[in-house]
Amino acid sequence: MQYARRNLALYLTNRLNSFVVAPAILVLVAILTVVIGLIIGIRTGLPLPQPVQDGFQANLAVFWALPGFLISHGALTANRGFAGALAFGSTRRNFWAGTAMGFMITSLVVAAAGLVILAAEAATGFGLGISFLTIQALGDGNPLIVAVTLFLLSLMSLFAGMSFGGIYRAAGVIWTVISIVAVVLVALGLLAAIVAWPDLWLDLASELGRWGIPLGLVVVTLIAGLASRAVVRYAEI
Amino acid sequence: MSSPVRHTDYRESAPGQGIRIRNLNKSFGKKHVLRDITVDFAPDRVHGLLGANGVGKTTLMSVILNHTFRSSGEVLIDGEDPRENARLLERTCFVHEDQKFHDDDTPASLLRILPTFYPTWDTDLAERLAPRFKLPMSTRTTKLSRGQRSALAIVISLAARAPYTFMDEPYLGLDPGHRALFYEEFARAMAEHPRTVILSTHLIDEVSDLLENVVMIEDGRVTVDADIDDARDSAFVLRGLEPVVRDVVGARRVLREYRLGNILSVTVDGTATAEDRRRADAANVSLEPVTLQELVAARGMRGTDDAEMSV
Amino acid sequence: MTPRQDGRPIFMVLADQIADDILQGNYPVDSAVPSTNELAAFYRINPATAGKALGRLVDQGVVERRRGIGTFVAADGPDILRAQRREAFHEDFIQPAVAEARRLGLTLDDMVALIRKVSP
Repeated sequence: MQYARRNLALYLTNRLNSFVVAPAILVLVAILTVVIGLIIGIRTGLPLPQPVQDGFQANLAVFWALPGFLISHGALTANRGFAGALAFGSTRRNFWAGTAMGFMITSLVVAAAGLVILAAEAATGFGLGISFLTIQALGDGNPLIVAVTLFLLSLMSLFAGMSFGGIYRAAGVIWTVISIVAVVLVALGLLAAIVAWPDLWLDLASELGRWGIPLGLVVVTLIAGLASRAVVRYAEI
Repeated sequence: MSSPVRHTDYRESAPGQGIRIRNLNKSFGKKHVLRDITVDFAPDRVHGLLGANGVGKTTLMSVILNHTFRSSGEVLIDGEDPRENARLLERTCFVHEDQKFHDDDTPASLLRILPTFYPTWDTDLAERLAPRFKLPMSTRTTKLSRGQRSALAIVISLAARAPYTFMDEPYLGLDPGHRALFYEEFARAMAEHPRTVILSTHLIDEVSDLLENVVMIEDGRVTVDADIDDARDSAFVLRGLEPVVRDVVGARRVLREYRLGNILSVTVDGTATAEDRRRADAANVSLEPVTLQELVAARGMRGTDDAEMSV
Repeated sequence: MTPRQDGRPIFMVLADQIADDILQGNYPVDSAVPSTNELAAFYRINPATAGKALGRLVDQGVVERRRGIGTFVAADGPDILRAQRREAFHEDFIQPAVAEARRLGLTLDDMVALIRKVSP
């Protein structure tokens, strides 16, 4: 445990990327959402008419905004942080364990930032009927679902990034590209499956209810976490 | 130095067992970089890892610590396999020549975190060395110059006091003043806290006074493994008129020769005897010990067919 | 900085240098000579080499180790050194001087005259 904690400390020295950037992105996208709402409002008048408000209810900006940075942060951690950890006498296993703890802390910070934004949104409705986190995909802004979903989304992205970074260290750039392509293909396949058999998925979604997305994220996060652990064991400097 | 007249055996701490390598091979695809390396690095000594660029010095160090995976063979440090061995690896430090750190890391942030990695971390030493090497503490590691990165690696390597410290061309980019400072601080650190060091270098003569043992790699093989004084005794240089020099050399093997007009300078394999000195003197041939640089160059010039040599 | 003139092992050259200092009175009898650590850092040499140099002087009885305090010039240290150097004088100075004189075509009388000039 003490060996893993060293790696946690090493991860956390990188304060900007560990604590600041992801919440900042969240805030930035929230502001951007408000700005877009205002621009639409110039034409339609404020507060926004009901159909536009409904449109914002399906706003998935938060799901697109976070993963990009977190995947690259996870990949860089597996690449550069890994090199530092080994130089300082860590094992690969303990590097993974300590970094996974760090990823959880970053994800908790993101979840907390989400709750703060949600509170601001709930208190003001951003004044105009614009929704950022009060959306259907997040249980219409249920705080628990928002927090859990953001936490899992962050953790999944970090682990996925670490997996790609690990593959790069273990097998080089070609296999990294191949693995990214493979993951994208699987995602597209799932999307196609949703489009092809919408009833099946709607039934599943209604069975699982509002927790469908968090549950799905749990599965993917677990897969990404295990993949990153397996891959880091084969990474080299 | 804490006390000017402190008198302690410089090997006071209980020594480890050193590093034992048997039949170590490493290939990158079809490229066979390390070939059947068998060598021991005795504990609490400073070992120079010598050889031309690209012969596998860095790879050997990386493979010993499992930073890069071996293809086959055995490595034991203190009698244990280092692979994923947390208790053993915390006793090692190897800041690579092209070491990567996190993007935001600065010398300050690294020096703050390193005491958690090394129970032996010497904060006083780090705080003394960093300004001496003019290390910019709050500059990101990605923005450091070559010399500044070397300075950072030196500060970390010496202050960690890891029982097994690996240094790969540690003076790259340092100006002569800071190189001299490195040699001084290195010697002081080894005197105060002996440890096993493997230091790869091509600036052989400049570093040679710091070394106790030399291991030379040629074409992925160990060709010289000797105490440094023995290595220096393993060859000598004769210089004089060609026929006379040839006469003194006799049947012995010439490792390398240079000609300047009538004057021939040859590096001869073996130890010079008193008889050699007498004959050289009588024939007006100068007899000098070989420098380590010349020795490495001379041995390196020969083919690998008779590379396994003991000195 | 490096104490080596002629390619002899460094520890021998370093031992001679300390011996020179003792003979010149820079380290009087009963005073401390530099420690292994100080020598290593000052000359930027391996501590084992510095230790060997001191060890050589200890073996010759020129200096003595006092447990836990340091290494000190022995009472008869300077005398031992002088005796050694007298013995080596012929080989170290006379032989090379004669060889060089021969190369230059100087006769024995020329050499004696030159010595008189230095020390009348």
